[in-house]
Amino acid sequence: MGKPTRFPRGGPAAARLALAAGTACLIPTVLGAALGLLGWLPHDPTAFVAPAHAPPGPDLWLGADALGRDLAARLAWAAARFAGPALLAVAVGGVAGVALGLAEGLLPGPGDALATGLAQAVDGVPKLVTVLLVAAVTQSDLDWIMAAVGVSFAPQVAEPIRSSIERLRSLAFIEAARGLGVGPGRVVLVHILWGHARRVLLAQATSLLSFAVLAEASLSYLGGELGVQEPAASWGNMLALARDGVFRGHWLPALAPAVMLSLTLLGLSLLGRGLLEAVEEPR
Amino acid sequence: MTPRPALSLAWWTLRQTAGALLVLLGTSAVLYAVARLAPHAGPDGRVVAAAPAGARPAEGLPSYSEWLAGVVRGDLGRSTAVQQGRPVSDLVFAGLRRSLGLAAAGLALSSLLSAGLTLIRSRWSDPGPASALSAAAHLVSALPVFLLVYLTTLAGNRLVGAGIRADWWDRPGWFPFPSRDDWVPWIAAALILAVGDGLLADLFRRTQAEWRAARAVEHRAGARLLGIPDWEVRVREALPGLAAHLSRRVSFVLGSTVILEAALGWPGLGYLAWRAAAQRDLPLLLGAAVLMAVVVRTAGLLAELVRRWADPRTGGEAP
Repeated sequence: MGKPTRFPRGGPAAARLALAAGTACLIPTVLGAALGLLGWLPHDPTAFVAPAHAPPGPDLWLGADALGRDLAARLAWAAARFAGPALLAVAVGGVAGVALGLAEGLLPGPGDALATGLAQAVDGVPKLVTVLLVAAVTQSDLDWIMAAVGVSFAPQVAEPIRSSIERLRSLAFIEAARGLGVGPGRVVLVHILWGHARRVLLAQATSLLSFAVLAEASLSYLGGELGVQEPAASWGNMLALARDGVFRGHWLPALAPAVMLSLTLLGLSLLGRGLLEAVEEPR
Repeated sequence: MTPRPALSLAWWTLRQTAGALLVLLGTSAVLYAVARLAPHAGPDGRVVAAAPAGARPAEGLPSYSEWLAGVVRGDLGRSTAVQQGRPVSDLVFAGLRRSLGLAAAGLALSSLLSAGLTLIRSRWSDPGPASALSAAAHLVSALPVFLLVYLTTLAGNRLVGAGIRADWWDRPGWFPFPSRDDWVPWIAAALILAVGDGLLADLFRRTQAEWRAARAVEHRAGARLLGIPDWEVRVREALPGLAAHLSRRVSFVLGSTVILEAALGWPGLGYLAWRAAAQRDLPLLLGAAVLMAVVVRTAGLLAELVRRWADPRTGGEAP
């Protein structure tokens, strides 16, 4: 046998670093969304305020896009108008996933089998195809698309809840709580969901949010009337509009949404990783 | 401890297949329900909760029982828009042949990269470079597939164009539009699938966790005494978890294939699904979705087989 090697593993310091880096990556998006929601934008994001591809200046922080609209205002507006649908996706995914996980973990025989079957049936289709199906029938209504994202993520949210219930329900402190007369609802909500599954649930929420951003941006970039339509702004359709300008040397209109999108996805990935590393038991 | 009842391979396969068919039945019901019952856009484009049956864009879809009977017979209906009148089964099976290889290559490449990165990381005792490696994998993997396609096409065209102008090489047949029939663009596309949309970061993380867990198993010392190589014990210990995780990522990779093929305009199942959604061709979209669900479920069955082979205890195999 070879010499045993020391495997560098994540620990509290790595988890803290991932959480801090993830939060830092998300600052521009959160700031942009806040400015957009408060309406504190230098220009109307749909107004033609400058010549096409005007360079950055004091009035136009990032310059203008191919149609002469304020690039910075459109970036912030895209973040702001996606905030609501993204939260909807998280809410739908959270509620459906928790309900499914509780059903799988707590219901007796046939109920458990039904819930598990439902989770497997939903999980059996690629999430993006479910999203395409809903985008096709609702003619790209973003709220419904995000609801579909939430539903398609529900089995993934349900899994850690089910395993937490299985792992914890025979443990002494749950028995003790029951013995002290604590109701099953409180045991599930306080001792299982809040006490032991909250960080895993938060990590799942970051994955869900990440997929929601990815799905919206991808559909908007590809066009075909499936994503966000002009003149409304999305980082995906901003990049699609700017992609040909790159060949004429106009990098910024393509670079800015690409950087915002990548930073957001990286931030969410790091946050999820940090949360998971924080809950991982040392082996 | 009570021993688990022995299961013959035939009985086990039969049971797994029956379970998979039941799940597929559920999946088909979910898909059909979404196509039929989801709120549809009204004539003014606004989404309404219930549109009159005739006004729904689900035209071309028979009742669920008729549709399901057709699916069982291999008749998925006819395309209503993308290739009007052509049998959906012909279109989706032709597309599947093209897409499956790409998705499998993407997943295999991602697994190899993750395994390589894990081995490199396990050899470094200094946490600095190990963390830098992990951060680099996360950074590249955070890029979405469509953005990687755009950046790769841009960089490839610039590089090849510069080479042609400098007489370094002749103009490749696929230039400036990458074609899926040439191996250079095909490998680049598989690499994009392997890295993008967070796949590499996810597999890297999971491979590290499984490899770490495989080091800590109690029977390692016993196996060493029996002369079994250490690497074999660790691989067999890590394989079931990794296979299960990979089978779950098949669904995700197929989703990424939709984006990749749509971005490159490459014909395949993903491109068909995207065009069907854009043109509201519901029979074609449902056909593509059902076929993808079959692929996902088959991958799950294969993972179960690997688990049974690598760890006979989980399969209930007779001693």
